[in-house]
Amino acid sequence: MDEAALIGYAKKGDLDAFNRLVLAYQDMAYAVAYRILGDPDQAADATQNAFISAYRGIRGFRGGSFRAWLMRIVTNACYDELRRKQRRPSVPLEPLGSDGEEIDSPSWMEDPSEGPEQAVVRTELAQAIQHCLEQLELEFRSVIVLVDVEGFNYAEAAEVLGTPLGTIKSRLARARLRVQDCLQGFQELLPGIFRLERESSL
Amino acid sequence: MTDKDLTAISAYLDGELSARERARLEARLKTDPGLKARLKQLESGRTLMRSLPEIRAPRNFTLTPEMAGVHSGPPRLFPVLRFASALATILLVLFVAGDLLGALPGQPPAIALFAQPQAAELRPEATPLSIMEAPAAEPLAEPEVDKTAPESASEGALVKPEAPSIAVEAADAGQAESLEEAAEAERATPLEGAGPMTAQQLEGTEMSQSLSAASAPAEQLTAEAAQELQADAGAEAPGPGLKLYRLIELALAAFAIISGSLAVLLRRRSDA
Repeated sequence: MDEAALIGYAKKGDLDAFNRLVLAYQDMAYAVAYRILGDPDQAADATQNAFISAYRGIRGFRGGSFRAWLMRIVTNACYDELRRKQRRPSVPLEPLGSDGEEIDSPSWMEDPSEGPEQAVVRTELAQAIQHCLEQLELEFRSVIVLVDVEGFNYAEAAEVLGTPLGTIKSRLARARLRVQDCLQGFQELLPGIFRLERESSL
Repeated sequence: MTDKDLTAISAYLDGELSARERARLEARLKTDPGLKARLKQLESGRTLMRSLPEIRAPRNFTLTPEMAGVHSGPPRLFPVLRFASALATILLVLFVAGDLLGALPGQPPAIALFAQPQAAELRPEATPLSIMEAPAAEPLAEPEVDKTAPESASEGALVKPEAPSIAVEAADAGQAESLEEAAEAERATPLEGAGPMTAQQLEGTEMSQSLSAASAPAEQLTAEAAQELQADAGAEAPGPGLKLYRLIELALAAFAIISGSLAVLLRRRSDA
């Protein structure tokens, strides 16, 4: 059954049809939430709340990009979570586990196909990027996560965040510059970044 | 570097510039090494961002019926509609009861209105009564004429054949004789005080006097007939208050039916 049909059934109150949409979009939703919030538990709460809100408000979906409509609900849920927790933007360089100890390699970063050196570099890079993202103000963080991490185009990002296209362009440019400047500080700690950059550009 | 230049090179990376803007920027990049260096820097950062590992959800976020707020029982609107229907029905019963007992001021009770057929039946009875009375009245009228003629022969009173219709309000024969005496007494006074009168004036006076000299049964019948007329008038031309009453009753009945039907429909849909 295609997405439009599932949405149609979900609008009529078919919970099973809506849950199939959840399964299709939950990875993206959680990823956006995690990149914005920087905490796995908060990201899980925001993702669950977002899907509950989406089900209750699905009759308000009038067509267009369902992905953009859903991610708007996810970002709003993240903002609500931040307001509720009053979390500081800075976080430890490495994510913390349930016991409060730093995790060297979070499970969601593991890739069984790559070698150990690559895994370490990738993990350290991801952690560095996450750290730099969390140094940004919320409105800049949201734009760069949607466009550069999740691959939304400018129009979709404008729809998700409810801001004009010109604002998306300027905020993205400034966010990129600040992340780049932030990552420059990790060059001394993470020389492997340049190796990875050269391999990506080939 | 200005914010405008920064925005331009960032949008250039994503192909979000118009053809004109792209041509202008490319011309500047050839002559501005600082601008070109910044472009490369932004491009590196974007590459790193895109190299981030894909994050998978740690668990399923599918909704349970409780999360979705799906109620197994009747919807919330059901008890509201049920209560509204019951209330409207109760109010309707009260209005109809008030209508039957004559609660509306200035209006006869509805029960009295149900007596209209009886009142209508009275009218045909009244007609034979008038016919019965007419022969009695006529002999009465004639003796009146005979008696008054010697008293005022110059006036020449006559009683017109209209007496039968007037006799509908008159009493029976025995009581009419006593009325005749009273009528004579009343007639004497105005006749004595009045000057010369024409025959028609005297005739009208005698007719009005015979009318006013009705007996108690005549008055009773008159009152009954008046009630019949009033009931007929009430039935034929209901006042605005009664119309509003009826409209309220109709609205309550319609509301009770509609809200009750909606409640049943909602209940069936939730059970399905």
